Amino acid sequence: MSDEPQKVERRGDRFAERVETRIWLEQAAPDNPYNATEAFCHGYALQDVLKNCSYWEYIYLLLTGNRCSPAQHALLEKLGIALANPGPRHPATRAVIAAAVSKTDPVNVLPLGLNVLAGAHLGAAEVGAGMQFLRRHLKRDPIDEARQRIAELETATSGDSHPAPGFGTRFGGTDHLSGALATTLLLEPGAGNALAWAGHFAQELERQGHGGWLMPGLAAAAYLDLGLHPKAGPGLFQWMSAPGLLAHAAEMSNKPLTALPFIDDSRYFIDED
Amino acid sequence: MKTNAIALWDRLRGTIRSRIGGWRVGPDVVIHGRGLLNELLGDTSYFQLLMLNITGRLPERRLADWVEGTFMCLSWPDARIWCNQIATYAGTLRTTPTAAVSAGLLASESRLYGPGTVLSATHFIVDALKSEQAGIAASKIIENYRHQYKTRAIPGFGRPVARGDERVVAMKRLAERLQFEIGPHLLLANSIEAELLKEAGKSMNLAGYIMAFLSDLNYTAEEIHALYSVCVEAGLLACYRDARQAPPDAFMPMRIEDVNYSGPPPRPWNNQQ
Repeated sequence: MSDEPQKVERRGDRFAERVETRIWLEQAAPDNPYNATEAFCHGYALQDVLKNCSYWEYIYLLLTGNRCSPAQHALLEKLGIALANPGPRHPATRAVIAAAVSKTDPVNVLPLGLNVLAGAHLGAAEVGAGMQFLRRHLKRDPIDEARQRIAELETATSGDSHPAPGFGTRFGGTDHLSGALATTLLLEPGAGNALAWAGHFAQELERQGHGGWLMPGLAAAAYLDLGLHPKAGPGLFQWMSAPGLLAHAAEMSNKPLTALPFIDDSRYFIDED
Repeated sequence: MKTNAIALWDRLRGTIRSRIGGWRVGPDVVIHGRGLLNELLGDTSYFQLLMLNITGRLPERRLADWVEGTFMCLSWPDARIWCNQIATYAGTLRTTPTAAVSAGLLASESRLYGPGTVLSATHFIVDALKSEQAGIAASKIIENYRHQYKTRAIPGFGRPVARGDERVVAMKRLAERLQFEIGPHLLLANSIEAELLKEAGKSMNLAGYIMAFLSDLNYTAEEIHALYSVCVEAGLLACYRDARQAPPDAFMPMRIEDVNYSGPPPRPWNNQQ
């Protein structure tokens, strides 16, 4: 029983002696077994990759172990542009701007921005959930799915609502910029079932006044069409959004603390419990 | 544009509405209606203050001491523990202590240990008590949970690496010394433990004990999650400091042969592929 003294002992799980990877092979230097002379990514010599391969081809190879088709390559590159800057009003960007102005150690600025960008609302967690949602529903009719989800929405919610992760309203309306970027990506030869399905789904949401595409939904659909696993999506979304966070932080890093609003006491309201 | 759709955003624009408090420059800082400098400082422990900040309720001192005790049990200076290992890597690469702690805290948001286990363990015991009050026996509660979530694991019971949990024994001792009574959640957790011990030698882990104990005192899953978000901090800093004082890049160095490569053999990059 619980109140008797417990015998606590190691459980005897068998842990691996060494880490295993299918991604990376190194050749040891003859004079030092800790240093490498050559590295291979999924079998391709890094030097060969460096000479022959674009950055995005290499990223795709790293992530999937496969070489991407020209259509996948183009989609990945365009997606990289679409996601590269969440913009100065996105809370993750505002976080890095606040950090830069308040003179946070520069080495911490990007990690803290990516932490904020990890969220389930407009962040990386929503991308993962969006990929799961799309994977589960691709065989359903997107219009029916949108209508059903709209019908199930709770009417009393205050603020934005996302009938499905990655899709819904932003500031009470449609995020037209996400929609426009999605329209461009949909023209790519690499755009597949997921982007097409999500396009119809978003269109029906918009038609009924429930928003439409949001950036996490756009990323989720494109990642699925690129053959990526839902577990890869959140981190990839954070990483692809990093350039904009870096740029906005850099722009503000030399500015004084007064370069940002510090809300006056007259506009700071403490609601009583 | 529908003006009512953005009314919420316009009302909030350029203001902060706080339900917790704020800094009144000069007189004091208000935390849930209490003055930090003139009322709380000196009479309130740090853990009481932490709990007030998170929940809006100022707990009695003995409860804050009990929570502090659980923090002591939850974080040790052992670099094999996964979050500690991450802080050690940070130390060996000479990050700041803040970056090391942040990385380690993120790692501790795990499904296997740390604050990542809080929500599932709390929801389990809260739901389990409702089931028990509806006349369902502990063994059936376990069976139902496994059936519903298609898993053998019961949140709050069992732990990685070891069988048994010496920390629970120590915390029960402290609870007795602080004259806490055993409430219905904890009583049920003891019954579930008895079933699991009988079946698979699995005992209640510290998370399971904490969640049952605090649920008995009407703390919600979200409150407990926030409260324990930094619970591994002490061990992180200990391991960081240990690595920081050793030579750089000296923590568990790996020879190239220490990685098992299981991917494709070296192959040429062929652009015609």
